[in-house]
Amino acid sequence: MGCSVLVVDDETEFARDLSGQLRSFGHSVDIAYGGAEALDMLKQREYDVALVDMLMQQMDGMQTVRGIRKMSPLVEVIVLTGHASITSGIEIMKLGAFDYLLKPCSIEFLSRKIDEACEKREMALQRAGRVK
Amino acid sequence: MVIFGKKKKDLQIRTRLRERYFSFKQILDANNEVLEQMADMRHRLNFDEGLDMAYVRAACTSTAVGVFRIISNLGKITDSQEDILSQRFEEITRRISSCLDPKAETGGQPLALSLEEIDAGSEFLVGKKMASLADLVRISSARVPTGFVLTTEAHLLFVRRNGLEQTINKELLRLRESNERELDAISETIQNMILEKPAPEEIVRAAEPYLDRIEKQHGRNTRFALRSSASVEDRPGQSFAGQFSTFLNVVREDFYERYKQVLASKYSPHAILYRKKFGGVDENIRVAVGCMVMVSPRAAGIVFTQDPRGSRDRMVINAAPGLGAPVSDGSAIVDQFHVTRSQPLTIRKRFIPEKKTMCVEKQGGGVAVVEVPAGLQANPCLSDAQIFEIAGTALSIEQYYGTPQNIEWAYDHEGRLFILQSRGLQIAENREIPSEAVHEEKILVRGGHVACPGIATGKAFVAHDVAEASAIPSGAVLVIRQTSPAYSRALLKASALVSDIGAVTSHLALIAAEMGLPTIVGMREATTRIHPGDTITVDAVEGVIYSGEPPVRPPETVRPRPYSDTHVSRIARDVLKHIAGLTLTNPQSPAFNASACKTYHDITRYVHEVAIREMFKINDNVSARTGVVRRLEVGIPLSIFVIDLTERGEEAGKDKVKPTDITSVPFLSLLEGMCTEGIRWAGFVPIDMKGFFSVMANTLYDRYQGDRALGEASYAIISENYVNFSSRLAYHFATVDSYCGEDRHSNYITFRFMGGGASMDKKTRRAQFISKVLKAHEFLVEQKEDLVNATLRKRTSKVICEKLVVLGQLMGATRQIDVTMVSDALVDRYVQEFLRGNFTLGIKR
Repeated sequence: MGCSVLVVDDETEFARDLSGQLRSFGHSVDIAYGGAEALDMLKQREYDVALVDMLMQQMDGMQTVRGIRKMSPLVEVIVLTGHASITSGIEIMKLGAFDYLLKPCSIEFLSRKIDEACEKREMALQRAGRVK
Repeated sequence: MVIFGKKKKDLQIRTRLRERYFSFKQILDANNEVLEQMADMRHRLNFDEGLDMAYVRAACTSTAVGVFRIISNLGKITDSQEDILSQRFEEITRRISSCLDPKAETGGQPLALSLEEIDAGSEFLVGKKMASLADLVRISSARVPTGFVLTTEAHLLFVRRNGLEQTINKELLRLRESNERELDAISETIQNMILEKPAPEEIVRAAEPYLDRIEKQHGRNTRFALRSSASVEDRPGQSFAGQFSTFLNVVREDFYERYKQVLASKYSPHAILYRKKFGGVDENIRVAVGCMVMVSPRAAGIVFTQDPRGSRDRMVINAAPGLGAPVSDGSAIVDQFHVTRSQPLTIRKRFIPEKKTMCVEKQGGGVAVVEVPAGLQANPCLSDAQIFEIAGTALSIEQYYGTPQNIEWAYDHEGRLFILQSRGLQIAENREIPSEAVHEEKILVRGGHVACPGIATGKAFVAHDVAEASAIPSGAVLVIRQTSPAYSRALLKASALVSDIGAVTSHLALIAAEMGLPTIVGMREATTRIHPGDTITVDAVEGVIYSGEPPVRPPETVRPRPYSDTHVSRIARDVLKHIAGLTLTNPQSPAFNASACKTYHDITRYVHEVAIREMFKINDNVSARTGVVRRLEVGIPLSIFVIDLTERGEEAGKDKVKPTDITSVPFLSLLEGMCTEGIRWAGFVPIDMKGFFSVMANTLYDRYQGDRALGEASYAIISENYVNFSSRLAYHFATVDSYCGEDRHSNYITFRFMGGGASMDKKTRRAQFISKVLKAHEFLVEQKEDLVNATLRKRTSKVICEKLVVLGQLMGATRQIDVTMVSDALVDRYVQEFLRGNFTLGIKR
């Protein structure tokens, strides 16, 4: 199932690499190289899933997730981080994130999580009377 | 597209069902992820495989997130807030967090403290090393240099004020992703980031009054020794020895530069790797720096109040002329004295080698290695009186702490003994290990000092420097010229360590001992006598190295189990108690409830049970009027309506579905059973008049009237791996709920059967018949009067499918038989018939 994914990560190389891999799994992917850019892009259009990195220089993952949830509550958020922290993990989940995943994680696993998040969003849209 | 009216409502009902199923599946998946994670942690802990702090932290985090997902998805199935469960989750999570970060947050704490100001409660601020030094001030016989500590709070301030937290984390992450290939480059980057930043004004303001006071007391030209004292340093069982830099003979002008260098040394390549191996979460390792007045020593060294390898009644004093550095870094051969622990103290052995070099203070600051004046090289650097003074003081310190100690001491030029540091000493178990006889001609090297007892065999890897050592293959014996903490990286792969030069008190020897590596140091000729690539055996019991394998296989106990009591394994054990412990074991017990959950495992167990119970009821509010159901066209006279949760959107115009359209694996199995040849769904079971009236009477007060009338259609809510089938045929009620996927741990069948048209004794006999059949098929069964509850869990999808076929057959075969069950003897007869494959049970219809 192809989903529209917004990769939010200020590590240019990593973001590009990840996007390429996700595309090969049939997802359509755009990249925001930072939290502020992500929020700008979400003003233009909605995505099914935002894949947010925790450690970003300008606006960190927590702020970004907060911003996305406030602006587009129906966009599912998956956080991807290499810096495991129970506190921030639970905080992110309480903000309504779909999942909080730790690097390294396989692209198959990540893609499956994206599919699931997408399915959840589709149901939420249906419930809201909007059909995808 | 916007949909109006009933269609929209129907779609919402279907969406609601889909959402419940989705949440259910999320629970099953998260449950598996969490259980796998627990098993992996246990395995790594038990087998000492890949257990580093980053792993423990990651495992705890993903487990916590998984349990959070489980709880929040349960809320979506039950439509009720699981407040108690969330509370329990928060409590357990707090406990786990405090195991991981025992003192995660400080704030508003002092940046500097004098030794006198340090009390028992300030260890987290000054680190163990400085806290115990402050303790020594209270022991009258021990003289400790004047000094103060820049606290862990100052370190935190330095990092935060300079915005280093994120950048350091990012570099460490890059390191993890590059699999340590970029270790040296990343280490340098981080250290430079620290060195480039200024010491914040607050730190300078806190330190200056102490520096002024010391200069006033000791003169303007006072030199300082800056020693690290990390907040997780020197825990019992973990030395962190030599992981941070120490700077001696520091002039006041260089004070803050050296201070930053101590902080930066937290990120030296070997310190980073050491933490990875032995634990210590980066941000929790805060470095306090002890700033002591420099003792200008005539001689200095280390005393072990008990010989870690030899007799328990023996102290070992190592001493070097000048500064004590050669003793701790193993850079030169030093004097050694063995002294009895029992009174009167007696010097039992003196080992006085020629000491060619010594470490001294330079005029302008810093230290230098110089030659020992020719006439003094062979002289002992301590007098007997001094040896006794050291031994006596050391014993009183040991008495104070109650455990054997490793104590750094120094004699100044005025002959005053100073204690620079004292810490607990690990005494190896299994010290008395019998050695095996080895042919003399096979012995390659003999002598030296055993730093960690044990026997290991491997290919010799002779390294002349640290760079060479980095290529050591796994399991090889590392043979080096001289010990240095920089080799600790190579130790991670080595099976044993041998050096030409170095003391058992050297940092590398301590690290090797902590890892349980058989180690002999100071063998003098190991690098020249051992040929690279040869198979050798290091007998770090007898202190010999011989070629080939040991003549007799050494007992398993010879090699201490590495890492089994490291900081990280202790943390892992602690968190596992809160994660993997299981106290909710019996779902039937009244104590099986949310508020009784004490661990993550309890929560997952509880939720799994509740979720399955809830899914069992998913069918309750579905009726033929729901626009999303479709009638199944199947060759048995049953009205089965299907709701397929895998369908997306609406498929208008279709109101029928064929079995060939069904993709649900478990439902197809159930149907297969129901359609088995020999099962008669149609036809009236002959009953006598008495039985007939009892049927009529029972319908009037049937206990099990739900939302649907009895005898109405059956409904199947299905997905690829799921079926919930509910039927209310002929006065009884049967529900099958099953998940059947690839992972056997998620798979289950729950089955409930209740009711009937006949009298209670007959209905009970039918229930007995059903439960006996199901028990024969390995179900766990509970039967009470006419109620049967049966479950089967954690079977492969193949087994689940086979059992679903049986359930389908059973539902068909039991239809209306209750009225025929006039005697107990019929129960067993029917069971036999059924198990033989005679689904009419021998009843003539």
